Amino acid sequence: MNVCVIGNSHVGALKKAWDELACDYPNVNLFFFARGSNSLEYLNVKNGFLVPGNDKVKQAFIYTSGGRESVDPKEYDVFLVYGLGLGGFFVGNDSFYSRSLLQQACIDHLKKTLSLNVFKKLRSITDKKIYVGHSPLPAAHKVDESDCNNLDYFNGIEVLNSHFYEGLNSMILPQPEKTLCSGRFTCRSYSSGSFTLDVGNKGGGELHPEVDVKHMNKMFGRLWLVDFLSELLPDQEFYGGE
Amino acid sequence: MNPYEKLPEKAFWKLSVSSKSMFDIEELWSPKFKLSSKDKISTYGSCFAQHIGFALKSRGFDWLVAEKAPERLSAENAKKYNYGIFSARTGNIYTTSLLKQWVEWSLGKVSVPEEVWEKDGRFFDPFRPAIEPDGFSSKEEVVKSRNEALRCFEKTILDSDVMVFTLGLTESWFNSSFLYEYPMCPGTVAGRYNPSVHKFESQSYEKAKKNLALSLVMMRKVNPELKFLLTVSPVPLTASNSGDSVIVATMHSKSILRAVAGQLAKDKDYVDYFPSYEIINSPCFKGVFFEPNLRGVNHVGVDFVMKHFFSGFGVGSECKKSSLVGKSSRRNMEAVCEEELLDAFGKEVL
Repeated sequence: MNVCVIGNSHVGALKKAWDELACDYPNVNLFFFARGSNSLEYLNVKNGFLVPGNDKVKQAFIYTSGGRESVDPKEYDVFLVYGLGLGGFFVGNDSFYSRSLLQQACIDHLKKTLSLNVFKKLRSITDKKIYVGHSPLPAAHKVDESDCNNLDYFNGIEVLNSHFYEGLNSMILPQPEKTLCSGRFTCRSYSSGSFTLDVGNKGGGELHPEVDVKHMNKMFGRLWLVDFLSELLPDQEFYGGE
Repeated sequence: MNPYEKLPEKAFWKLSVSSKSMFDIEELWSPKFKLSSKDKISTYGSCFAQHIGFALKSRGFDWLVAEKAPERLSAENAKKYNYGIFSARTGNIYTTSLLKQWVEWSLGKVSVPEEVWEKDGRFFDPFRPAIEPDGFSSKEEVVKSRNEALRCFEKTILDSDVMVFTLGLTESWFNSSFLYEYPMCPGTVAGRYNPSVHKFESQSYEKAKKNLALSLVMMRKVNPELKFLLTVSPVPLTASNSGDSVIVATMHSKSILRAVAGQLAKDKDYVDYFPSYEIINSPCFKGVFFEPNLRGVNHVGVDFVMKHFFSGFGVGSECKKSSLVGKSSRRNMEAVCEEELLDAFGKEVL
């Protein structure tokens, strides 16, 4: 199975994890097309391909994918759009909201994100399934990690799927439950020791400063990918874990 | 020597009005009880009540909003879906009898009617006909959403220290078979008008006062510390079904409501009255606070009312920095008023 992963700096954690996990999944190939921040604004649809709109994105794609400069949807079985400014979505589990209101809230949450922008471009060139991963919830120092009430978070994921993604042959995945704390954060241990996305230029593949709470480490990436791959290959034996 | 000799300046028209710029007129009210930033304050009522909620929030008071929008809904759409307009999504509560109805339903004293309106495959709540811009997807959704509003309304009764209620209308529409009241005449915003079921009533002073007094008593029974601040909306009627000129009907209606509010404030130590109605409508302000249609209150008028409201509590007119009102938020603060829709539907109804 060929999986195309498109995203920004957050893809770094997945890539690091995949380098170690790949041998456990001999029938799966992940191809990464990534560049940090909002660079993928410069991504165009051309002749049925997703094509970099500038040289920096082109060079990053060649480096992260191992030689491919554009995304040819025919080469992949499924797609993952990861990070790209899409944050967590929380919906109160104990309140009632109408269907049209929740739909509107989903649209308001998604509409200005690069994630949706890339998703729409991708959808315009393929009908294949697109998975979406939001940027990791921020890690926080001073939160009660024993607070395990994640209902609003998972309810938000369910609402995004049932009110938006499902109708588009797509699915947003939650970050692994184990990584959550206090309902809206990532446990601090998963942001410590994270690396910048390596796109082959200066500063790539270096440790993030310890104060960085947005980017996650290899262990987070591993848990995320294991969940993702078990969604893709439900019948395959579980290989991952810590 | 006579009693007038010792009266303060504010008691004399010449001293407090004629000899001053209208913007320097002061001492329009002395609050019976103070509001503090720790008090939880809920707001309900007619269109004008919305301004009080926004103003409370912008000055750092604890405006209690029990029914909250999903957090990622834009401010513009939250308003469209009537979140953050009142403390719960009741829509406009124009009459004292409608307030009583909401109180009775939320406290479980009277069962909630099952009536739901349908049009072109969408469903509408007769008691909040414009609460969602395109109605609901099913009858069940209407009922669930109404129950949510009732739950949140009850929460504000239980949790508020002060409830601000703005009285708006005495003209009302009832279901004559089941005796419940609609906020709008069926067939205007939604629903279908049936003359044999839907009956008009112009409520008397006695009825308006009785219903308001009963509402306050019911609420105090479950929250004995709850205080009330009554105001009367200065906004004239959009249309009157009384047979009188809309000018005469407006004066009739507002006079009753003003008298009811004043009387209850005089009778009950837990009720106060704030004169927003007078501040906008008094001849000393020459109608400058109205929009060109002489109905809507312009933002200068709203600010002027709020300045007097907060000066009574010793609070300045400045908003908190985070709440400064720009053009877009000003647009967002424009009142949501279902009654205005009568203008659009008037010809079909009248």
